[in-house]
Amino acid sequence: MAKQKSILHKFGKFLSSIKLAVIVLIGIGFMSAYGTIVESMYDARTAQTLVYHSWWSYTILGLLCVNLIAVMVDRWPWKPRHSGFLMAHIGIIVLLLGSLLTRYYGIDGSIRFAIGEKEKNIWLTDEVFEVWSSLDGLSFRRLSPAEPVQFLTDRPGPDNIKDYSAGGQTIKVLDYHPYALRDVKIEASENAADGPAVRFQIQNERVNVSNWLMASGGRRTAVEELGPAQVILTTRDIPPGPGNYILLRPDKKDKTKMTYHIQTMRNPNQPKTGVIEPGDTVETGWMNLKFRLLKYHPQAKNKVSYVPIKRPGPLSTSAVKVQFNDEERWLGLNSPVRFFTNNTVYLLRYGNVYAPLGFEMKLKEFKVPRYQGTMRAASYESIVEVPVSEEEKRALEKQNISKSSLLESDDLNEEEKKTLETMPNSHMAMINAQKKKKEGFRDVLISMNNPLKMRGFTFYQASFEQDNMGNPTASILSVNRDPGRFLKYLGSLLICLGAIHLFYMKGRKRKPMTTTKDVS
Amino acid sequence: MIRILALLLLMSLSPSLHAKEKGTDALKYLPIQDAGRVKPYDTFARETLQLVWGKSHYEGKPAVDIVTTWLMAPQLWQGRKFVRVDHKGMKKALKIEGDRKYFSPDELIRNPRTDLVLRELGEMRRNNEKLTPYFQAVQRLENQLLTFHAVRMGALRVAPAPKGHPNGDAWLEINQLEGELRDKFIIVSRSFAAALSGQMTGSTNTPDADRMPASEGEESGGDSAAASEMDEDGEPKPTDKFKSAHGGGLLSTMAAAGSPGVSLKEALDDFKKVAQKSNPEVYPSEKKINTEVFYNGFHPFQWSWIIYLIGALLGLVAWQTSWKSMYVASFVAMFGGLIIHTYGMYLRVVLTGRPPVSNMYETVIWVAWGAVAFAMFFEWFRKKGYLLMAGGIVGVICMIVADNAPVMLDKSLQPLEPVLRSNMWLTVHVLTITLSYAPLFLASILGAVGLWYIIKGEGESSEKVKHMAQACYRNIQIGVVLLAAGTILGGVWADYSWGRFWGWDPKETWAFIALMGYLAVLHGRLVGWVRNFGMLAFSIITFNLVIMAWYGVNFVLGAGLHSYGFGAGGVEWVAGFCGIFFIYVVYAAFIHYFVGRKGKASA
Repeated sequence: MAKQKSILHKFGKFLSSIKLAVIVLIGIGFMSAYGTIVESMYDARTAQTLVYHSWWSYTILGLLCVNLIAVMVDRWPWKPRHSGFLMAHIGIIVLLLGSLLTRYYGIDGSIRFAIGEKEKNIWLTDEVFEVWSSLDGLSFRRLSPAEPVQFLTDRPGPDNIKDYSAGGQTIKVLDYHPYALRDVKIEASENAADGPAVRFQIQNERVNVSNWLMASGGRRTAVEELGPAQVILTTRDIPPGPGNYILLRPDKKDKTKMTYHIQTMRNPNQPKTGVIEPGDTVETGWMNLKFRLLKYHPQAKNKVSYVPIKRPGPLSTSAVKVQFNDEERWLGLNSPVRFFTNNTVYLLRYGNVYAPLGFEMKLKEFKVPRYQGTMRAASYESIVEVPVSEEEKRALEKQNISKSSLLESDDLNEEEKKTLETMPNSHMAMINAQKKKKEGFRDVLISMNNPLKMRGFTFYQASFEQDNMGNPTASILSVNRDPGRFLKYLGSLLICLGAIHLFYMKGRKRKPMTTTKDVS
Repeated sequence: MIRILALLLLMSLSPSLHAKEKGTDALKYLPIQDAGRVKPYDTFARETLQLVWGKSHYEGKPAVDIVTTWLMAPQLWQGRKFVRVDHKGMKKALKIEGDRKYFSPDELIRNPRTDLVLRELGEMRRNNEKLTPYFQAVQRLENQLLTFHAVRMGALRVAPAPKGHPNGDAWLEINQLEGELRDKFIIVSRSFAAALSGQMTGSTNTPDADRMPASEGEESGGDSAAASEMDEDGEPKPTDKFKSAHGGGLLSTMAAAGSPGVSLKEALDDFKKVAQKSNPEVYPSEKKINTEVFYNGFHPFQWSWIIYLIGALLGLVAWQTSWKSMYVASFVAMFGGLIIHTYGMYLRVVLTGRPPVSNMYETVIWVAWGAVAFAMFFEWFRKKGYLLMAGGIVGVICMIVADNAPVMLDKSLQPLEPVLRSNMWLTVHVLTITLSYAPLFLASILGAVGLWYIIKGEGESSEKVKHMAQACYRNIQIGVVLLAAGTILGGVWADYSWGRFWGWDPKETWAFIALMGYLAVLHGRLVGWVRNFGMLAFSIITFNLVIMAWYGVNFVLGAGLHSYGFGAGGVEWVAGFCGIFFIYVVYAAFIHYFVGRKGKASA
């Protein structure tokens, strides 16, 4: 009994020892260093799941908490000189508690909208696997609750087949590529509803271009811009207009052939027309260019495959291999795939949670102010329309809006302010602004380092998308709700005060921590 | 006429003439718009020459003269081997001599492999891929060629565009100047040529400027055929943008017309007056331009490291001999160095209008400042001299590196990335965290000094070793408080800027790792694992974590949100520095644990 007690006592002593603290500190150091290496080799997501949020990282941090609590208990009864030590150590525990709250109750997502678009959902970082079904192919309903998945750690494979069967259909996840490149190939299809696709080549001494054109999957016309000329594939019967182009249409008589119509600016009244089949070459009569039809599918479809790669790149995604009854296909992150049975359409999706925000936001404008005389971005600014809360509305109705107060406020954009200024006799702009507010909307500017706080969420300018010409097309805001924020700040404050206090105490030449002598 | 001008320029390039050459100084003060801000022509010329040639002067001639001759007589430079190319792998890809450092613009542009590597770079950029050191070198080459070409073609923005001009806030390039601006600029270029040749004749020969061709020099190059040539894919070649229908040198004819009879300074003052009238709101004040030219020429950081070196040596003597006069001299020297250092930082703050910690170069300067300031602060109480010496060593190391590693540490004053703008928390965070590096650096130097005693055979408990270990301990304590506060402030900044208190960003994470390392050392000392020798050794070893956080994340790890600080190069030097220190520690440990013990046993 006494021996048992002494083992327990020794164990308790070890838990409260500085030796354990040193080991834990070094452990945390190695864990973090490993994480940064994983991040530089793979990506942030991989480092987060495999290292920072892994069970063993949590174990080390848990051990730290145990050690901190044990060492504080060990010092009981506390004396005034312990206050720095206590503050710093309690601070760490409070900070970690705050992080835990954030981890389990916080929201970390993003909202993406194209310029002029509205959005009422946000993308969360959590991933799920979902099965939806539809009878008409238009309105879908979810068959089973979304299954949270973490394929990076719980990796599907031949030994780990995941079963998500629902609605009487066998649905399984068979395999997983953490990093893959999406590859789209065009191939012939049996489905009579699909449109045509062609592969062509245009060539002269200096130019040699070959490409695919497909007018299928909802599109009836496809255009390839080749600088001064175009190649157009269409199933519509549009009358040809002026320009430099080669127009291709499926031949109505022979399924293996196409009709062509070559229009040039030089001879607008003498277009070349005729029938062409794969392998044939036609002189366009323009810049010595030859047009050649390489392949033609009267019905074509996209064949999507995912090529696994070792390490992620800017274009890579992750993909899972799913089995739907007897059919097997690859499914990319956030790109759902449809499966058909006799009377029902099923939609399988593996991707981020797309959750309602609770209100709607609209991206009115996205601006990139530049440094003078350069294309170097000085800032990124989203102008977003958000609903006004009920209290704000009531306050507004009471408020008497004067012109000067409106000019000074942020409620009007520059243009509206200008209108207001230049038309002193008109109250149009004022009235409009008031009306807009009463209808319940206001414009806010969200820019880097200038977030919007609203209804418990904080919106930050995170990134944006642009077209080939470098013009911005969409803005991405990060959306956060952090219930642990208060604890984190409190913990931080305690740590800093404690550290300074400890340092100050030592500065007064006190013998540090004499109580630990029995350990060493 | 051109031949005479060429001769004059060539003559002026010979160093013997340079000593007397002061006539072109006035050009330094011409405000021009470049890389997102308005700067004196002096700054532009220095940065440009630094980029292309690798130094901010050429064969003893100031950058202003050199860069202006690119503009006025590019035919003298096209074939001259002055474009510095360092990257061995890229030289191999270009199939040019690997051991040659300088190449001429012509041989680089006409090299068919240049198109290949530039096209690869374009592909990398389109795919948003991270640039490897090889591609960073290619990007540098592209920049060098582009910059030379831009100067050659007169694409220098020398006067603000009037309001409502289609240029917007972009200033007018030399070849866009019209009317009075153009006339005045022609006089400037002519008086520059006159000043350069040192022949200020009183000629009154002033032909009507408007009649002179503005865009075609007599010496039109033979590369017009090469312009806009298509390659097999039907795409223009990347090097096409460095070629032009004419050979550049659009000012040479004007300049060749002889001296206008006014001094360069008068001509420039005239031009500046007209340029200011064009758009007074955006034209910089003379005071600010003068400050920047002064800053460029003053080299405050070079002066301060020289003085720190003297101070450190005096400190060494004072410490070894305990001579009071030496001690005072060392203190005064260090203080003088610190004042110049502070003044240099003050000038940078005035010029940029922001705290001096926005890139690696500035943090190195800041850490040096902190180390010297801390050393002097402690010295005030200790009065031994070794702290002055250690502070001086840190100052000298940092400042020499900052002054002499332009590829790694960019000295130029650049506009900020969006995420860094007007952000109080970021400033406080970076100031605190980098300031923590100062006492930690100081501790590592003190550790090295303490280990010297060990190597000399002093026992662990000797007074001298104890003193050093205590000084290390004290410095690490200060460092840890600052590092902890700085790391936490990093969380506050991250929370404020993108809503995550802690996102495991590599730069923040490594600061945190360094904190863990130093906390382990401090706690280890509490339980007696780390005694005096350990304290000294760990002061050096743990400082490697700081080097990793400070330098390694940007230059070795190269990932994360802090991408604004990224650059390339210097890895071998830093690794060498760490390696030497490591070997030193191992050697000291060997002496301490084996040789030292033997000594004790025999005693």
